[in-house]
Amino acid sequence: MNKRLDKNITLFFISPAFIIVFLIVFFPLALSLYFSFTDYVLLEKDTGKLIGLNNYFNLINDQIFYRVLLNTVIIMSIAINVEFLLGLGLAVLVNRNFKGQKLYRTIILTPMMISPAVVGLNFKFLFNDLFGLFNNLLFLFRLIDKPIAWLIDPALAIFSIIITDIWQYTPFMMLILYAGLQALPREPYEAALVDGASSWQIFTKITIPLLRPVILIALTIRSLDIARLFDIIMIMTGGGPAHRTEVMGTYVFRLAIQDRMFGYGNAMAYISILITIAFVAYLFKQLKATKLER
Amino acid sequence: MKGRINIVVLGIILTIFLLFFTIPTIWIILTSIRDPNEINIIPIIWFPKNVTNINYIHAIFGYTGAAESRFLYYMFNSFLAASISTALALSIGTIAGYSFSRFRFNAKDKLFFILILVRAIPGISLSLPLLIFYNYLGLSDTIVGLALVYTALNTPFVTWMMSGFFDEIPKEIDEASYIDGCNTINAFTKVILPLTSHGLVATSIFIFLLSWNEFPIAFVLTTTLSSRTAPVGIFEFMSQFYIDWGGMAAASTLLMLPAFIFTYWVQKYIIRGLTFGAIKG
Repeated sequence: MNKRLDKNITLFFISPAFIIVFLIVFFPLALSLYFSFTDYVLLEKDTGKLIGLNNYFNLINDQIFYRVLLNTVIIMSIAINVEFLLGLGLAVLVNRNFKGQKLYRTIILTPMMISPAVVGLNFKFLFNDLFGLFNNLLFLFRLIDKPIAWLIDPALAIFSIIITDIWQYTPFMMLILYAGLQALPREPYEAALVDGASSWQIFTKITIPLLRPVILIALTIRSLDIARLFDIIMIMTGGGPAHRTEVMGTYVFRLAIQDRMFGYGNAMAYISILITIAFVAYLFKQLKATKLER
Repeated sequence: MKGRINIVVLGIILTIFLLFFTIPTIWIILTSIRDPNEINIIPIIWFPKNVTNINYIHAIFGYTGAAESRFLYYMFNSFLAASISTALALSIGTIAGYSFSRFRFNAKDKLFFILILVRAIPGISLSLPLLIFYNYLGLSDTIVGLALVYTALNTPFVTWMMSGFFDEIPKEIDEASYIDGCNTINAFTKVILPLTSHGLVATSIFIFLLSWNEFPIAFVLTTTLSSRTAPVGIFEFMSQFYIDWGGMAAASTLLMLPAFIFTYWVQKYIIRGLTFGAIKG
């Protein structure tokens, strides 16, 4: 085929995709960077002067900013570990043959297909101290004698968020790890069985190392998702009580929209974007490495 | 004997997992068919005594005395925004995916990185500059504006999903069709595209659900009946003084329906889509 023609067609085929992405994503992001250097306040005249890096300096001195980072680290470190362990267990179980296996997998998967906004609202109801399902179940089994204020207690609110995230995204972990298990080669297992290895040895010495690239991808994608967590927190607690569940997304919303400090909010938004780019760069390296291995 | 114990243990563990992942959803569905008087009382009533459709009537047609139901509009807006963006992103992304799969060009890696980045950018961060940009363009609080954002966010997704499906079709088929006298565009539309119809269906269901479920961008950009979507509008069952849990549960159930219907069919492809094509399901 004609090489020149090839090039023209390629250009013709990929340009619509890049035009819309640049127009609706990258141009606004450049705009956002500009706003982050201004003192723009929404609906107020005579604001929008360039003030250099002042917004970013203010963030460094902002106590809530550190609370936001700490909350993100807490949610990440607990939720991802639990999701990984539960997801791995489920993937191993589902990898065995049993009747109704596909239906079982489908039912387990539904949480991740539901809108996070709906999940957040529903869990707000389930965590309700008086009429909520969770407290009433705990009452039923006599585990508590007075209601727990899950979303109002400053120490507990973040755990309510974590439980919700675990409920919604363990299925995602299971799905990826299950796909990884399905793709593993047969030979090492046959060799190990011949050598008389126990099933635990096979699992830790063969399955886990072979699964490593898939595990890394799953963990990175989940970290990325938690770094941009917004929906369920906005709905369940709005970042409260006293910023105990505040994360980057909710803080951006609070600053830029609720408090109308648009310039300052965009600075916070930009930091969350930079963190995203760092995660994506790492993920990209992992994706390339797995592609090369195959 | 040992085998039988294993099966019993396996069954118990599988059941515990099943309960954990289904009870919250089942509880919401039960709440949606409960008499509103049975919801806010202590001790709670585990199984509805009077099954009723009143919550669905409230959710869809509004309350007696209310001038109109807003939620029906929100569902309609969600459907429009999701459908328009699915059609656009599918067309734009499929041809891009074909180029990624078939043609060699410089900077392919960098372009791929950009595509992943688009999918990963926090929606709330993107919504801030869009608010100003759309105000300037006159697109604020319109379905067209919202559909354009969803198109831009879903195009990368379609690109790598479809490029994966095209990779599975041997290049020899392209070459054979060239010999038969097709040009590149004919080979693509007449020969290759029909071969990926299952991929097209799975991809479109998937991006439809992503737009249908989207919250942060719609939360900032849509303010009135003319464009507010259902995941944002469902908030209105929580007024400052009273929360209508029954109406909320009925609306939630309606919003979850597409997920219930489609998960079974597309689960094979979910993995591929969510891992940026790295892991084939």
